[in-house]
Amino acid sequence: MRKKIKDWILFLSLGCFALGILIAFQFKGQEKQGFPLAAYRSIDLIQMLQNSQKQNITLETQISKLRTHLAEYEISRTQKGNLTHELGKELERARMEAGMIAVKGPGIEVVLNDSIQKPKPGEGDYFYLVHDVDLTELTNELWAAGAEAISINNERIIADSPIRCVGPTILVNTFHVSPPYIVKAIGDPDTLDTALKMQGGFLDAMQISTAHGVTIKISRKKRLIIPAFGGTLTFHYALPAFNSKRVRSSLRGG
Amino acid sequence: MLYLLTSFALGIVAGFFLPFSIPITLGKYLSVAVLAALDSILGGGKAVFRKRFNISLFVSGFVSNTFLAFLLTYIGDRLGVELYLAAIITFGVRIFQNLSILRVYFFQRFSTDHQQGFSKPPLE
Repeated sequence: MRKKIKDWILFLSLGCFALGILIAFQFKGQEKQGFPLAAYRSIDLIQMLQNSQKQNITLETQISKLRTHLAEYEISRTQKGNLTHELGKELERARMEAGMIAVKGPGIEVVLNDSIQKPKPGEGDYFYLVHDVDLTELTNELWAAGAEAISINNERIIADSPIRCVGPTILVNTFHVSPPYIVKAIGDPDTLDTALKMQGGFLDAMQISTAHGVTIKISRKKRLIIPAFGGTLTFHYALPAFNSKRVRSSLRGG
Repeated sequence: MLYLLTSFALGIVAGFFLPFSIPITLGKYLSVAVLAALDSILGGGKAVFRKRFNISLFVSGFVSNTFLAFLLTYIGDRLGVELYLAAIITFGVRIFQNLSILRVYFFQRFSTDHQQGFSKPPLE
């Protein structure tokens, strides 16, 4: 009898020991793996997003500070001679074309917002929301109508700006913007305004969405300010190809 | 009982201090193994209370359960079907059943007579 009790204690203890080791391994494995993003609660994710956005903003102020420093250096240099003065002017122009300088002038402001209506049962929410394609279509139309500078929620649109759906938000440059989307465009207010209202134009294309409660408000403005592009442009692959014979012939051939 | 808890704690400590760890890709196998071990221990405990504890049965059950669970997981991985869920569900159900039976024995033992302990044949 006594021996039997000892036996079960021994073997169950061994089993418990094995169980302990296994559980410890499991914990270690999980720790190493780190928790996947999907395991976080949305509140934590929002916190993380806000933190990184704050970081973005501080970095952007840093960029603009450095840019003003650079501009100061250039001014002090251009004052030294006429030739450099010309170069400075050219540089300024190039900057403006690239969207690196904040600009002001007359234009229009378009405010787009998602519908407040709820989709009916069995109906998708597609026509109740403002989509990335709507914004690309809008900016496209504005460029075509002679807009000289465009921003979406104060994010300057430049030559290589992406406008793309990322989850519930839209990615503009490196920023996630959410509704209401305020699109500002500098240009001739009348032309821009009528371009959007053209038959078969942007407003017509959005008719189904507006019928479902998406709001689009267009207002002409005498004075708009559009901020400079906040990020940096980097070229990893593209190199300047100068206007040599080879380039010209290859373009003609292609 | 004390022995079991101590060895469990020792196992956890040993597991944490052992220099190697199991890769993440085998995590599924590990979780199945954890459940198999827990099931065997509770089953063993039940057998002890029923005075039917048998070392060879206990050990073979431990090994074969774990082996079958591993096999199911492996085949499931190969087939792209989550077969290891079958093992998890079986073990889970059994764990809860065994736990409730153990609980019944515990209360019987401690509430009616303290002196007799194991010598009193349990119900069922």
